[in-house]
Amino acid sequence: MTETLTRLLHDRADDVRFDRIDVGAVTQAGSHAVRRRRWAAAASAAAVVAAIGLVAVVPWPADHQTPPAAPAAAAEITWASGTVLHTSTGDIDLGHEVAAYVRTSAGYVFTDGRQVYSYADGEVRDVGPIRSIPPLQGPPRIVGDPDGTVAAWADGSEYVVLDQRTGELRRFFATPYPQLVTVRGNTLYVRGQSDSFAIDAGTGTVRAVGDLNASDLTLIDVAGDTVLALDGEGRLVTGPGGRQVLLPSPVPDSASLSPDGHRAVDGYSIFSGPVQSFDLRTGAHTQLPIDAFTAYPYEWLDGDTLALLSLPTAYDHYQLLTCDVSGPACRVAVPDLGEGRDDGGNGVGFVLPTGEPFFPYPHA
Amino acid sequence: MTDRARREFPEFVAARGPALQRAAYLMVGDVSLAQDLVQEALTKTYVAWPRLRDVANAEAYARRAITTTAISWFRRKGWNAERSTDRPPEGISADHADGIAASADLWDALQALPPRQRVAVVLRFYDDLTEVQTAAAMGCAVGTVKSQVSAALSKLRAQLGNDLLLDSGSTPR
Repeated sequence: MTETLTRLLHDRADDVRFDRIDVGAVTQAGSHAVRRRRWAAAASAAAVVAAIGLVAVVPWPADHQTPPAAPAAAAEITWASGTVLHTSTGDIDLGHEVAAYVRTSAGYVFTDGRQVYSYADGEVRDVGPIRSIPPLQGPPRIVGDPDGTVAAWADGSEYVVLDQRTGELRRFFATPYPQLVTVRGNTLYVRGQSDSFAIDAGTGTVRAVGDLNASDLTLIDVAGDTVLALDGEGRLVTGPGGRQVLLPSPVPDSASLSPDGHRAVDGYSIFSGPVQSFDLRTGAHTQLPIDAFTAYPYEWLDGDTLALLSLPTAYDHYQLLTCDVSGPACRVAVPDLGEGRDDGGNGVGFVLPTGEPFFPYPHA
Repeated sequence: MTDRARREFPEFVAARGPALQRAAYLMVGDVSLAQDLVQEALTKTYVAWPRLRDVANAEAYARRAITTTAISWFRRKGWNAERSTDRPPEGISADHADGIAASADLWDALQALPPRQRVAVVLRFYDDLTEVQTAAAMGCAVGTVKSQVSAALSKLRAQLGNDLLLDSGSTPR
């Protein structure tokens, strides 16, 4: 039906003359943008250190300091829609819209985009506001330790750290640009474009993470004694046991570590190829047996089990999968989460325990 | 920036830049704006180059940057309604007298579409992307592409009539 439409579009476009693209100007602007980001990140990260105080450069992060509490939130598939948290054992109405949430061993920490709430021992408690650190744009992020009891987020110019077991809140001054990466035990990991720091939530001391700063690496995740970082070519650099492994292929910066730090996975999308699991002790990689249009790993349920969001075909409804990466073998855990919805932000009608709203496609 | 980027990026721009400019022009309806749009999108692509595995990904990334930037420009500048349509684009050929009237009518109707519908039409019927590829470029669900294109074609039919450009039937791929 549309041959005429197509022909007229081509005629219209072909009859217009454009200036030759100035590649030099483009690359100059691009290089300037990269330098500006790195400079700003370096300057602000340095300001964080100066503001908070003690800095110690260590080879890799120290062991976790906080003993895990008795598990209250099982490592299971969960998702939220509206005010309801769906778990394998039943639904929980949290009484507030769930825009983003994370799991800890003590419960769940979630936000409606304005306030942060703690759900533990069957009760919901308002624990304070959440606001992006200016001038960062986009929705604020919560990070949580599924093997510990601590969650953290930003409130304007401060980081807020909550111990869900005790209810204690601590606040740390933050200057612009650094972003929350993760929290492990009692340690909060923060990154700029080229600088990464670990903040001990108990003492307030700050240290640089490994030699990332000197190597121009970007911190992606931390677990066990492994630091996961991305080099300038988009390759993973890891440090299990203090040993660096340079993985061969570029990966997206959505890669994540298993809780023991022994494995890493990268995401699958139309841009980045199939889901691969990397054994960081050997360097071996395994392609997970997933036949889907998209599949995004979003949570490790244990050292071997990975949860993924999948769109089986481009015309399908979303599913949740679990994969035993040591097999490897995958199965459908939740067969129908509904279709993606167009709400102006390209969101979907559910959220997963990633600490931020989920978007179905990578951002340009 | 890496040696790979320095080597491959100019080749990419030379090969695909003109096509991206033409598509951008159809989306925004103005040559200067289209050039600015592509310049901005290529800058983003250059910055992302180390993370893009091959040229096909680079083009997809650039196309996505163009569409998302165009839509954000529309929103920021309030270009939700009709654009200036009282003159043909620069340099249009005078050889196709019969085609000019139809082209002008189409141009008017296309520029009157809401931004996301306009972008969807360009990606589907000019760039010849599949619905899946269009969804990826627009950052939305495939179902949204279907609804945007369907709504756009309905409006074009209403303004131009089936006899002008829309026979009937289904969209390609």
